[in-house]
Amino acid sequence: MHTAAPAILKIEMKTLLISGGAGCVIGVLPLILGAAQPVHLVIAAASAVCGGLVTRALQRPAVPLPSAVPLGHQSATAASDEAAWHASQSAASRPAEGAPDVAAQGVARNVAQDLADLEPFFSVTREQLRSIVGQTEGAASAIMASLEALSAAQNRSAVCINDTRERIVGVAEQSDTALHTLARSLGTYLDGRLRETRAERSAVDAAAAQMRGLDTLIVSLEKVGASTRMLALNANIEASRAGIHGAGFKVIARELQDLAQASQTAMAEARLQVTNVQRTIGQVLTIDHGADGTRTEQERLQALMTELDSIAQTTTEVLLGMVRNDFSEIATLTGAVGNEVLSVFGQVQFQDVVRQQIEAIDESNAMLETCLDGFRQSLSGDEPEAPVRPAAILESARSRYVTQIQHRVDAQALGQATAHADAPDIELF
Amino acid sequence: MHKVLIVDDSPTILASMVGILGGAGYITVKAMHAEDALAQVQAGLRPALVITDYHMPGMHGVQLIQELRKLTQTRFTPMLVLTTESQQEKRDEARKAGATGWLVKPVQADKLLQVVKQVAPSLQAIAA
Repeated sequence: MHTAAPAILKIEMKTLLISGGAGCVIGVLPLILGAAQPVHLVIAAASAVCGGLVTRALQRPAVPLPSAVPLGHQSATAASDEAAWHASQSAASRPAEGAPDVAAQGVARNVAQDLADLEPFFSVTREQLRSIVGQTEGAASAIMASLEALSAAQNRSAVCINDTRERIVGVAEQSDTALHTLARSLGTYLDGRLRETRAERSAVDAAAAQMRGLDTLIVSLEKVGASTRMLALNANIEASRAGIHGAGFKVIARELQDLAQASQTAMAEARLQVTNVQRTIGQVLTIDHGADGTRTEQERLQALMTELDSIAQTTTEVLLGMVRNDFSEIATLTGAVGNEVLSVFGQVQFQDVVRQQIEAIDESNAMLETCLDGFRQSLSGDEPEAPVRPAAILESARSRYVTQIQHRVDAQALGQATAHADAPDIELF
Repeated sequence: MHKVLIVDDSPTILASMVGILGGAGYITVKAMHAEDALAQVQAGLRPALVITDYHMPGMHGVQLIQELRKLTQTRFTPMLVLTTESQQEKRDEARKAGATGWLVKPVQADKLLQVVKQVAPSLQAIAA
């Protein structure tokens, strides 16, 4: 930025040396010829130096420096400033007659001024870059906060799901135990009922067997009666054959016949009674089973159904409670997770906003590179091919501003108030 | 099925919009530039809502809105401009071209969904 000062100092020293040297040469001649004293040599040298300095001062070029145009008026004076700046560059690059060092000094001075004119651009760019860093930090912080909220919601959801799972497993195990107990009770009852049924059947079978035994006895007795009647008949026949001597035998035969008849009548009555007894035994067994057994069975089954209803009701109540409380909390947490995910999707848009700002700075840097290259050419004594005015760089950057942030940061960097108030971020026409 | 046509040359913005609108149950269709969006509509796409960026290579967002307003199928379709642009002149230009609204990036997800429901109440979400 300040290389022109040492260059100018070198030029000044050079002038002093040349002037002093010229004075010494002029003063030596009279000294050699003896027409002057050594002091005259010193006086000649000093005079030459003074003359050189005076000559140099009078010959410094009066090249007008490009003035700093106030912000907000650049568009109106851009064309005239551009022409004046180019004129000054051309004037500075053309060496004055007989004063190449003066021209070089002018170029250097102009370059120094141009470099100073870049200061607003550097200030604005620095603040724009700081703003970009701030925006990215803010966006990253917001995304981190969303991710932390996501993580917390997910953890709570996982705990809730785990607790609910354990409770469901517990309820399932309790229901399973209760149902198994109920099944055993039902099985025990059915086993007992089966045994009772078998015992009843055995008793019935025994009674039936006994009745059949009575039948057999009655058949035997009927045969005896039939034989007795036959014997009485035969005795009566023989008694008749015996005549008067068989009268007593005829009485006995008649008695036997009466006995056989009475025996037959008794057998028939016995058969009828046995039949009635069988029928009665069967009816009694049936009636006994239907009265007491049915009541017992009803009571037992009712108890089992009551227990089954209790198990079902308890399970339903517990599961409904879980649905109302635990799953409701899980649904709330899931909704929170969904909202945070949507929020993150919105926050990543900062990348596009920052990208446009960085691209604008990149284009400005390209112009800066061209401008500095022009300085290099000027300092080298060449005519810049496509000179870029320092103020034009900032003007160009401002023309590419799209976001409100860029305008705001630009104004703040230069200590100015924002030209316009921020428009609303959302506007429906 | 109602669809939202999203037009932006930034892959990040497209992913953001698809994530927000898709997460809310809307069906989305993407286009990386205005010409592609216009071609899709001319080929038969019937969007219930269009969300377009302003600055894009080639045709910009407001020009796209002007072209879509000429087509019968999108003459009355709600169209939102989603952009970083801050110049009031461009906002006015969008209004004159027939835009329904102007949103500045970055737009919060909940606010975007609110605007969508307001400008396109007939747009149905899958989850609904």
